[in-house]
Amino acid sequence: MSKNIVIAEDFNVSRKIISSVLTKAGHSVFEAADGKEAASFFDGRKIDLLVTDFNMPEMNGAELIKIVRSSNKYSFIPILLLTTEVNENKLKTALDENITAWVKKPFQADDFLKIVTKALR
Amino acid sequence: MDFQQEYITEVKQILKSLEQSMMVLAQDANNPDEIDNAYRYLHTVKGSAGMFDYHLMENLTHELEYVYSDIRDGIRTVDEYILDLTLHAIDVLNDLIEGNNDEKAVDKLIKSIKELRGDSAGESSEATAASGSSTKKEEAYIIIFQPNENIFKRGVNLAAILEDIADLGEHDIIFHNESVPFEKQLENKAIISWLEILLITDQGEEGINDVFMFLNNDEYSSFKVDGAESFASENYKGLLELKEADINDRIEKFEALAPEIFTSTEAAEEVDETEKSLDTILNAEIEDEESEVVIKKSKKGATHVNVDTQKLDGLINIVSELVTFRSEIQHLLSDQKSVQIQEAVEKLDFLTLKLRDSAFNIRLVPINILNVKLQRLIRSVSKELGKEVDFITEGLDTELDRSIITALEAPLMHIIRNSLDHGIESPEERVKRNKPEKGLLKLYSYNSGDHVFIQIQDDGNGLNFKKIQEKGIEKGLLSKGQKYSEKDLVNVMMSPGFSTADAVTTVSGRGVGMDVVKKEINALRGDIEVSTEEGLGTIITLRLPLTLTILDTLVVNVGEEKYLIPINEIETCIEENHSELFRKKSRQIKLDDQLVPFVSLREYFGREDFPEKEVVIVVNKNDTKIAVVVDSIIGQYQTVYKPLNELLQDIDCFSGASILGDGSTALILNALKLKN
Repeated sequence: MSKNIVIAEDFNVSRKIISSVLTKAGHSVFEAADGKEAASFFDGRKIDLLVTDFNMPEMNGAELIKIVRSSNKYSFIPILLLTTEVNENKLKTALDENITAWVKKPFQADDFLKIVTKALR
Repeated sequence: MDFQQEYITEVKQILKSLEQSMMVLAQDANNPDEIDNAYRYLHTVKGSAGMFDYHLMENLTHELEYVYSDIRDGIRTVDEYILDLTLHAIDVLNDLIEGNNDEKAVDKLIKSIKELRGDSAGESSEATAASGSSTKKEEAYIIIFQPNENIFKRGVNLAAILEDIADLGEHDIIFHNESVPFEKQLENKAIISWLEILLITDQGEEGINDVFMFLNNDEYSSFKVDGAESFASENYKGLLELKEADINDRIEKFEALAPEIFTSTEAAEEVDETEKSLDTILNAEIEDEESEVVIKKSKKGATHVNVDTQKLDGLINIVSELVTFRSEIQHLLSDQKSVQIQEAVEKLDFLTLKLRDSAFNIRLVPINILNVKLQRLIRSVSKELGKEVDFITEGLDTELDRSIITALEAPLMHIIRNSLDHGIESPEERVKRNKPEKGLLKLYSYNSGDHVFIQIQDDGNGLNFKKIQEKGIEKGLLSKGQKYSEKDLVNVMMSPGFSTADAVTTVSGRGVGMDVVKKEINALRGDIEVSTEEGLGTIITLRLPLTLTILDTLVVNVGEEKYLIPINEIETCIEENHSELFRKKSRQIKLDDQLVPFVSLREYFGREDFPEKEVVIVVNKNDTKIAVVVDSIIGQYQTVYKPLNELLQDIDCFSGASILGDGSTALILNALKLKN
């Protein structure tokens, strides 16, 4: 079933690849180049999944997640965090663990789709 | 998907930004924003490199990222060595993205980075080895599943996990601490229970881990049961404290699920994964408590759009055609009496020009984009020469056509190299001359009319005219015993085959002299001017047109042929009788008590039928005057400059061509070259 997915990733090429993988899988994708833009998609519309980068201009992943989670409508949606962060423990504490999973960059499209499919269940 | 090209462009952009950050850090090593940026750039390059199989790039950025992670955390500070290392890495990365896989260079760099990081580097290569073997044999497991309170807040779908477990195989779930029915807990999104799952599956440990993909290590653990004896093992005892009656209950349950496994009860005391995983859980918790968090808000992104230059050129071409077309329409309607049509033409005129201006504005880029390159050059050259230099810039937001900026890079670099090499003295020498030890190099830029001026000033030794004159004589460029003005000497210095440096140093001796610089600047329809004060310094001024492609010209004709002369080069136009002009053989015309040589285009192109009245156009370029004699002036045209194709490029009396309003072609005259 087609789901609505928001992708927040400042690196254009990565974002486009993710987007094309998800679109091919039949999902509707909203692309955002920074956290602020991504947050603007959470305006009450139906969003089934957020895929976000951690390091972004304007608003980073942690802040975006905080905003998304603070809204009743989106407090339980799955969130996948893309990261290459060296120290995961640090990130973990920073995010208060309010994410569904980390996705370590780089990743293979197949693996990523598997995670997305699982998160969307 | 052809993302490759786009990827390359983007990475290059990021590397440029990284370079810029380095330059900021070179001045202000503790700038937290820049450190943050640098880290983020590396991180982005690394994250994407793997996707495109740029593994060398990935490895290199990976190592470098550690360094900047340390810097960000205050464990390390940016120093000269790190700057050099990073700049070198940027060069190598630029090569890698171009497809030049110099593995040795990468290895060397990685080695240096590892050395820099010292012993701690060893830990960095955390290989995430996946447990390989996938068993197809049915096995029994006990899974302890104790989700954290925030499981729903994390967006994990518990109901889906339970369904997935059902998919793995036969199972039985025992709910512990179930004061509220489990369904109710799911509904309330508040879990207080923990679950004990008895499972028979052929998917092995891997299959189980897959189901619990979104759960943390401390939220579940699985324990392989080989028979009743397994419950007696220490591992199991550490996991669950059950009374004997409970254990029997489990065994019974397993027997019901998979009689084949549990009838053959052979004790196999295998070392289990459980102990290890418990260890990691404990360690992880300790680390969690120890590590503090530093997360800074990322800096605001730039408000720029990257446009493919080809697209831009396409737009400019269309606008250029439109400008020509506008001239054509104006030409066609020039004898229209209707006020309405004239108004419409005027409006079209106005809008076309506006469109043209905006389109050209897009092409304009600030000189600043060269700044990093120049700074790097200054850094490395002054180091090489053992000189210290402060580099000051001003007005680098002045904009120029992109193609001019690109063409300007080499000459600018050469000028700066020269200033550092020949201009600015060594620190000892400077102290002797009562100058500050550190030399000063200034680059400033400003707009004036249709032109942009770029000045490069140093507080060095200035030009040594005596030396220039000696050298000029030696090279046969000047004759002995004659007196030369400073201007003449500067001109000699900029003529081919002249180099004052006694020894060809590696710095300025790269086969290019000032003559090449002058040629390159002239090719851009610009001028170069040198002013100097011996012992005090030199100022080199470059005057450049804003754009290369649009030219205000005067259209003249010789018979049927039309020629264009750039208006900014024209000093005056005079009408003169042919007989008067050609009265003397000298081919000179008297102008304000000055004799100016002239060239008759008719004569030049071998035509004899001279009209009675001719027009003399006096061209003044770089303070050299020449007059061109043509039949008549047709009018003023704003034309789009098109370079001549290769076949015609040898004919240097034309600098280009253009299409006129009536669709005919006209060549643009390079009057100075007519003289020869």
